[in-house]
Amino acid sequence: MVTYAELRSLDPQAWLDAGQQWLDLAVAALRVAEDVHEQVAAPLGSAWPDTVGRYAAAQIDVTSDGVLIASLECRAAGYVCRGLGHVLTVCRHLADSAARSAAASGLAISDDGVVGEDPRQRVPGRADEVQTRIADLQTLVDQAVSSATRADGTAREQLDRLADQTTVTDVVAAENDDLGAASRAEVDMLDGLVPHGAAADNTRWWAALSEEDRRLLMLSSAGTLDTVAGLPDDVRAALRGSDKFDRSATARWAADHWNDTSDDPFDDNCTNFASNSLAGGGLAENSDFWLGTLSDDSWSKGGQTGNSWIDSKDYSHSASWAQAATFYDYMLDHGATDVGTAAARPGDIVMWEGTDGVHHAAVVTSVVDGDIRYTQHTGEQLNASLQGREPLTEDGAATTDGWGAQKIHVLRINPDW
Amino acid sequence: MRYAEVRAAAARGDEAAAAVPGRTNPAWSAVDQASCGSRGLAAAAALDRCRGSWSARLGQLGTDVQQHADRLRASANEYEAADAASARGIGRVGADL
Repeated sequence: MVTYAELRSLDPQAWLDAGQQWLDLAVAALRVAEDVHEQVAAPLGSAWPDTVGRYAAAQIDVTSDGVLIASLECRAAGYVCRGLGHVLTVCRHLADSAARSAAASGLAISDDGVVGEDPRQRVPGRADEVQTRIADLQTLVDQAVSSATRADGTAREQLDRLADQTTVTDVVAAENDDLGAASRAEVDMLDGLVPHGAAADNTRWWAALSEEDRRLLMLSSAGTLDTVAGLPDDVRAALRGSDKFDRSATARWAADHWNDTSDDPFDDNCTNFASNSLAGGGLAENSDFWLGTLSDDSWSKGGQTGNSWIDSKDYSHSASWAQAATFYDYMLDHGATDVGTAAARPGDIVMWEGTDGVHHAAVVTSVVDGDIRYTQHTGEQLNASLQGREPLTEDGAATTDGWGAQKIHVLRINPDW
Repeated sequence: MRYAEVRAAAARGDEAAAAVPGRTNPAWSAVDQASCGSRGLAAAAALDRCRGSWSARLGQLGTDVQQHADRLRASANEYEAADAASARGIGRVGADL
């Protein structure tokens, strides 16, 4: 357990710096992996075309994959360290705020985090008021200590696991299992900062955060933060957005249903999941009165029978509901804007465009230090890192599914219906 | 085999081997700072273990890339020498005829 005294003496920046160092190593390793593949192995195809040459090229590519896997694992460690660094930073601010309030009230906080009257001075105010102040501060200290302890445990578990992954030989496993777990863990650590106590306690918690802490949490944990009673109205409005639906609820719906495939009637349900998430956030369907789901100007699901064979037929969902390219065109025609990756917020829809056009959709469920974390169906991913998976969607996926280099769009849905 | 191109690939392998990160201590200075200076955190020991595993792995990968480069160079030399020997042999046979 992290004690109050340890929390106040820790250096959170050291963990942020460590995270950045892992990420720098990941970038450098990725460059080496690309160089080894493209400049050492690939030229042998024409320069040394016999059986021995082909074998040599294959062996070199095994090493190139090894460096690529190392890059993914280093990135994973970077996410874990950075996540812990962010949590410690926020918890430190909470602890410092509690210490300042205690000092101003004539109270004291012991090294193990117990708030009480400072025996060296007389505490002003009535006894019941003093007890209330003590209880309020104790809640704040407990929130800081418990959040830091939880994040420390998560980080330990993840780093211990990553330490044992040096024998991984499958790039996809490194990407989905290790990087995926670390990306989720980073968001989980940040989500773990959000309290779920009484409204008044939550209000004091929010007030004790720095502006930077608040910005961080509004991007990383919008779906969780939005459920907290006692937050200022303007914060809640910013989380939900000014559109005709609740963006944070869209992100929350996506995260809550990331591995629930009960409403996935198609072979590929990425866009169906994005549409369901928007509906889960309160976005009303837009159905043509006469043609319903058959209309080009509908975004609607139509009546569902519960029979997957029937429901998977095109007439049960509008094309814009379930097909990525049509969804993209439809939403842009109906008020959405492509805000770009740098401006992404939870509740936006991220879309991938390859050589065959827009072909994939996912929901932005978190943004950490500018890195989009998306949640998708087929295959199911929760809070996957766009930045971390980018090299594989550009290169690895190009060789496996033929989509080629990807262009990323981030749609902020703003319905005109 | 086109020897010059294989040697060029080997030279690029030399450069890639030298560029494999994490083979020196300065590359880990911030990681070491976090793991050594975080008394009370369970994650600190795990970070140290993770650093140890991956610095060793990256070091091994650098060695592997260098070995590939060395083998490409050696293969180019051996192929060239064998081809030259064959050419000389064929030349002698031709002269004898």
